[in-house]
Amino acid sequence: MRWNRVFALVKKDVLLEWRQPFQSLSMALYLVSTVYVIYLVFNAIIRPDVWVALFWISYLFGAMIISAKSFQRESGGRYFFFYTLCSPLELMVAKLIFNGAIFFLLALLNWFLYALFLGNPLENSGVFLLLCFFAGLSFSGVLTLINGISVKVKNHPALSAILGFPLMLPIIMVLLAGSAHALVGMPWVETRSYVIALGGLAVTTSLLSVILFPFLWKE
Amino acid sequence: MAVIHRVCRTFAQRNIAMILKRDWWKLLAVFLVGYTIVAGLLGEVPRLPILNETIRNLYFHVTMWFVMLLLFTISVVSSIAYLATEKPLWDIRAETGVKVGMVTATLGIITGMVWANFTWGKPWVNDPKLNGAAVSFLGYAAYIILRQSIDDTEKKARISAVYNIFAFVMMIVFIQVLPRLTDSLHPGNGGNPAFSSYDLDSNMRSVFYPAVIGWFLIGYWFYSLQVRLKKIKLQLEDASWEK
Repeated sequence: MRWNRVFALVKKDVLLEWRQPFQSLSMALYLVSTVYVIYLVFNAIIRPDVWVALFWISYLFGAMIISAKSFQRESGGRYFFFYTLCSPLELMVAKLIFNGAIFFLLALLNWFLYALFLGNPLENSGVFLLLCFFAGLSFSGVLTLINGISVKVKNHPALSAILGFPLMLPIIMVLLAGSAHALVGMPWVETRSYVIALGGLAVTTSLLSVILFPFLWKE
Repeated sequence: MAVIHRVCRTFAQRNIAMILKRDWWKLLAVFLVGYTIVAGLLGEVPRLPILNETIRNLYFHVTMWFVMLLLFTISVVSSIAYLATEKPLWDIRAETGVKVGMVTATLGIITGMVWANFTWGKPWVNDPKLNGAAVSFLGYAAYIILRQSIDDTEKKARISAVYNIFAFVMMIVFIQVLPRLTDSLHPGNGGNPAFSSYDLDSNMRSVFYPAVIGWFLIGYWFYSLQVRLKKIKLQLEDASWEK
């Protein structure tokens, strides 16, 4: 694996995202609409714990939708072009970095929208920021591989959701428990184990994706 | 009458000593599970509050999950072997492991729900162990759906092997690691007494260990029958291609 190739691939994704902003803007619009619907339905009955639950649910679906286009540009005819250009390992690491960053930005945008419409009930924002960061990494670990699978299995739009949700549930459970601690501003000693568990999940899922992706990639 | 006559004759024709030599473990399985059912339902158990007679579920519920874990482990090892060698036989083993494992998982969930209905008052509670069971069930159901949505045999085998390995690791994380982070109602977690502390007089041990071995063998028997059936189907397919 050569890191300059990995960074070239990441740079390519960022540039394409920059030159065709309608895709990322449509994702942002998707998130705004979702949060606005939640605001309309829940604004009278919102409680801090409901806030946290809704936050991660809308984040889950947002990440699901965004990740659907992970391998869009590498499928079809262009697949062969990339096949000759770089090793699957490099491509996967690049995708993991790119998706991790995108998911982290998604969490921040989600947080901003929630704070705007429903208020910010969090006592300990630093821990929550850390949780958002690791959530981005571990979601990218699961969803990038799942989308590698669903790109290979064509004509089945629900497949990535069916495959992804059971694998993402452990992450969601840790996120919910950790956010509950951030909500009431528990001391760092209490919250630490959740952040470590989440970091462990991020490392596990990313490693598994990197190990398994080469088998998906060859045809 | 003619059918019975024919069955008897075939049986006599086969060398019984050979059967005993090769298939002794099947006889052992039948004997052990028979013993589990009789001794498990009639044997002496400790009288504990709330649990009462439901403690006998240990011989059936816990063993079902053990068999499921065994079969899923066989399956994930086969998937790794498939990715390493690309021999279709390993794919058959991986698929069968999941399918037979799903049967025992269903039985494990049903026996657990009956037990929970008597001890916890309702069949399903929000508990890390139960969530883990539900998630592994959903994940492996997704594995079966994934297999059915790919037509090409080789592609199906490779992609489902990748998913199988990922799902297995996440299942282990979910049922072994996460319950330790949070409290659980389930026996063996969060200060709830587990099997070893129920078992004061070692009476249950003498049923539980044979039960585990017996159900393991029965599970493996089901599994090997399915594998052999699929192997024959594969060979027939190959033969019809050659014609």
